[in-house]
Amino acid sequence: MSKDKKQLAPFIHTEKNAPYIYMTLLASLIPCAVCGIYYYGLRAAVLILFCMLAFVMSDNLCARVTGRRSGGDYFDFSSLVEGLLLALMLPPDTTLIIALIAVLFASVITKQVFGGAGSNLINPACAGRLFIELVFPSGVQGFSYGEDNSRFALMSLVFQGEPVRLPDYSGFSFLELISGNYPGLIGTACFICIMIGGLFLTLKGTMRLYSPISYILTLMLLYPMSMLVGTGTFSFDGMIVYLLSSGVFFIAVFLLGDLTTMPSRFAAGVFAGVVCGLLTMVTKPFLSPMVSMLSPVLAVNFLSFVLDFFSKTLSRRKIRSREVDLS
Amino acid sequence: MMTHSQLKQFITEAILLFILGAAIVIGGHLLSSNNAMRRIQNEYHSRFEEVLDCSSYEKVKSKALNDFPEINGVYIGYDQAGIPQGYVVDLTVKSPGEQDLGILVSLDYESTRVTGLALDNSEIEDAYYIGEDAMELIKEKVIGRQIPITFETEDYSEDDDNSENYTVEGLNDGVYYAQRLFDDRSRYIDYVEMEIENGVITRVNWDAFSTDKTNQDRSEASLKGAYIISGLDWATQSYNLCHALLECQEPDRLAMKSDGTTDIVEGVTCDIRPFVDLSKECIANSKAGYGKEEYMADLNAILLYVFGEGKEDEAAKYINEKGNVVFSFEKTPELYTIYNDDNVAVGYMPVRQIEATINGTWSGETLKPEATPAVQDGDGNNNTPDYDSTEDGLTPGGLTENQIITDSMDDLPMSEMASFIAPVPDYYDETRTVIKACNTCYKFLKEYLNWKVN
Repeated sequence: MSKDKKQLAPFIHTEKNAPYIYMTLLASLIPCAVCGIYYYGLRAAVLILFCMLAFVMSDNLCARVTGRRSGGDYFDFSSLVEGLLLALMLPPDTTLIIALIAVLFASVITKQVFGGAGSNLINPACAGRLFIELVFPSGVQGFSYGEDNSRFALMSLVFQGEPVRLPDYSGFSFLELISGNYPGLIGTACFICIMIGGLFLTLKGTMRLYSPISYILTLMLLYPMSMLVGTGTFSFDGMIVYLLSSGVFFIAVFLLGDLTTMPSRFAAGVFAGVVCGLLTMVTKPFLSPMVSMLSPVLAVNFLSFVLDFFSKTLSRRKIRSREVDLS
Repeated sequence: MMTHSQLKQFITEAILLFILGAAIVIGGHLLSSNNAMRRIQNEYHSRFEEVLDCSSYEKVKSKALNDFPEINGVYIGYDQAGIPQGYVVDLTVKSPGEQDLGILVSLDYESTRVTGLALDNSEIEDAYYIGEDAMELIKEKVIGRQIPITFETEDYSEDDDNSENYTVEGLNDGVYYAQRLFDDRSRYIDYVEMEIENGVITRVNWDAFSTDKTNQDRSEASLKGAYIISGLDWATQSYNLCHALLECQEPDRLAMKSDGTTDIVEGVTCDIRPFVDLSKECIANSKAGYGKEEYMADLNAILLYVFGEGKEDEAAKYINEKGNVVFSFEKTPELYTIYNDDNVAVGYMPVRQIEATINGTWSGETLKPEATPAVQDGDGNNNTPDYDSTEDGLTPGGLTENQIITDSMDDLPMSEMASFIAPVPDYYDETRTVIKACNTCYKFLKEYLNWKVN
């Protein structure tokens, strides 16, 4: 290798530091939070604030206990982002205790154990949400909607109601589906809000598009095959309804677009998106909707480290072989 | 480290995104709400048209629903002009075998008559099965009936299947009166006044006056908080009990238990023994044509007899301004108590018998004790050992299989029942389950309408 190509320590000088990235993420989630609060009212607002506050407190407490606390010149916005992200993936009638369990699992087990902000292997919000889905399945079935839904109801934050079966979304109009006017999770329903968030992140350069796009394309490709194999019929409308109502766009933009837990290279990112989509479609008939969507995300989170490693190794080998050829 | 400019930029962007998000969400909601409403109405219509075909339906939101876990939803159906046509109640009730039955019951808006029934077990696993034939037979029996519904019994079915037509035979019209001859531990003397028109009890009043003439009557005292008992205030309980007697027409049908309480009259937790005893005495007086005036005259005569000749002025002190004798004869129990051969008190004589006995004009046998003496224990509670009753808390009458005339049905007193039907032959359990659903609707509506009034 020639002397000109040598690189010294990576003293990166950029405005896109950690607080900037997390603040951007926080801002991008605002439209989704607004949607949730508009449709579900006070209890959604309380859940969002509670999750954010609990996440910040838990992270700070862990940092104090482990002696990792920074000197005070850096506020860890990641806690706020993770708290908000987790809250937006909760059903509106989730009790505070269930939300707290999810936050503690996400914060302590999946984030702080691995070294805190930026060091976590998997997305904490995703892991926390999946944890309560698996351990307390009846605790995340609170979907008051239609005439049962009151914007001022707060009892569901304390008392767990009867599980509510979500309706068949095929009866909903396209306008209802893209505007989030249908029963679902607090922040994953409004397609337009999610797209605004995604667009904002892209413009700010704090989101990698490889995985989200490949994920959605894989789902669109595999959905007809899955339906044909499973039921023998396929309708384009059914696919649109599934994509808009299931929350896959939220997962694509805010979980698969994450800079920390997803591969940083193009090829690895695309591969991760495809694998995630594939796993989602394969597990869809056998698992509950949330489990079939979130567990593939965690799988590719684990995979991304390996994918990045191989991707970088291959890339270096190519560079080296090119340098050898040139010399 | 975060710079000032970064923070400023973040706040600006956050506000912009908030405004954009709010505009999109509110705009999207306004644009799509019509679709949502239409879709919801279509869903309601397809579900409910079998029981109540209406132009639109509105789901009832009421706190009263919290008390009825078996009710999945209550809807009001409207015609095209927006006039309410009836209620549709979506329920999941338990069968006698503890299986769930999903059922839709529609009720007339004004009269709460059952206008439609339909099974809806689509969302229930291992649902209770009622065959189409059985359901048709049950519909024939139940539709058109006013809720609450119960099974008719031998007692009731002799004349009519409607309890409102039940009367005690041999009653003479007039106003009748009876009072206790001794006071209770609060120094109140109970009395019952009863009016009978066309052989039917049309007015009943149960109250008590104090032996201390300066005190208020018990109902008035209870309303002012001076006389306190557990549960509802005494005046309300008295009213409820009188109302129950007007409905059932027969004190025995109040199903008094051996402890003097009843389970079948809602809101009544007090000792009803004085009321039952005095009501029976009034009924006996009515049969004998012994009106209130004669009763009062005889009671005055007894009072004078107790005080002795020449003490009219002293006796007059025990007559209050309404003309009631407010004297407790507790010191002369031999005057009114009936004893058995073992010298144990078994009942009380009515006033007309006492008066006739004093005058030596009583020619008949000692009347069968209508009242049972209450013995007060050390705590002042009334205890009546060896109470002679058919069965504790049950209405007297033949109990046969599948014919229930106990104290209540589906926690509703029999006196409250509006319709009596015979169970569909061979489908008793099925009929019972459907009736349970109807009665649940009644209980809800009763509470819901009260909520609305309040």
